[in-house]
Amino acid sequence: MEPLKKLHSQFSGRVHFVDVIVRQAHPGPGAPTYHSQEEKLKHARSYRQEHTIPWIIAADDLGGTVHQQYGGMADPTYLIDVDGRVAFYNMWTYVPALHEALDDLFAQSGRGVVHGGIDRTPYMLPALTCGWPGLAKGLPQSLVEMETAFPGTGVGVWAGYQLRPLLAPMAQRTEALPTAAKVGLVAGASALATFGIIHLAKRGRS
Amino acid sequence: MQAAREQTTVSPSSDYMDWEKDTETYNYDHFRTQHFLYDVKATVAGHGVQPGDLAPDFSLPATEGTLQLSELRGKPVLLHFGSPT
Repeated sequence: MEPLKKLHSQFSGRVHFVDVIVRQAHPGPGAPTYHSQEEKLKHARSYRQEHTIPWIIAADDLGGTVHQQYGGMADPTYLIDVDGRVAFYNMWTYVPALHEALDDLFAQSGRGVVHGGIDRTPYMLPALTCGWPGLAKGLPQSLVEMETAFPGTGVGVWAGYQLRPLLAPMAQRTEALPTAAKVGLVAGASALATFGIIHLAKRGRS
Repeated sequence: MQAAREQTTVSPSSDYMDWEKDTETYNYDHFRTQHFLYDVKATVAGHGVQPGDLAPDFSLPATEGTLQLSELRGKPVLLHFGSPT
């Protein structure tokens, strides 16, 4: 949520930000499944206050009618142009991509398809580094069910949250890493992997 | 009722879109592999409103009154769907 809040402040007054609360993605004792749209709206209000979210949050109905009209993905963001048409569809919300798409949209007077129109990349790093507080609300059920559904993901979210001081500079960005930094990261990771393989090979021979 | 609900939610033979059409299975009590797989399959399919299409209008209760999407025209809209958990 923090990168979106930064993006909001960068485009303050020029873009309407809207959130639609869909369902409890990882229900549990502290985050029970909603039983009415009113309950969703009440939670939207407290969630907005708790996280000091400066934009409006709408509550979809229990069946997620609006959410499903827009594809039903877990965490998507649409950019809609000044005429009400979809300019960009970020299937897995990633703020640097949204930032670039918004820049492109303003460069063409707020109209038309931008930034390739659709980004399907499953950006996992932001969820890994900031997903734990949400998941923790439903403990222990939420963690057990996530681990059962896809082993390693629940623990991964916990570990990512513990490592957020290290990962946040990459995961919580509002702008894409410069090309030189990407090259450096790939080169560093490759060097580490090569070093590890050589080290293991030497140990295997001795 | 609960048993029937669970069966519908976790049925491996159900089409990945079908379970989303049912309120009780959409608003699930338990997160399952099928929910994760839905996102994977939808991503591959590029499922959702396509770029260039008119964004479906809606009117929903919101933290400040009622939100009518079409009333926001004139400025770009960033529309995010998400869950508190």
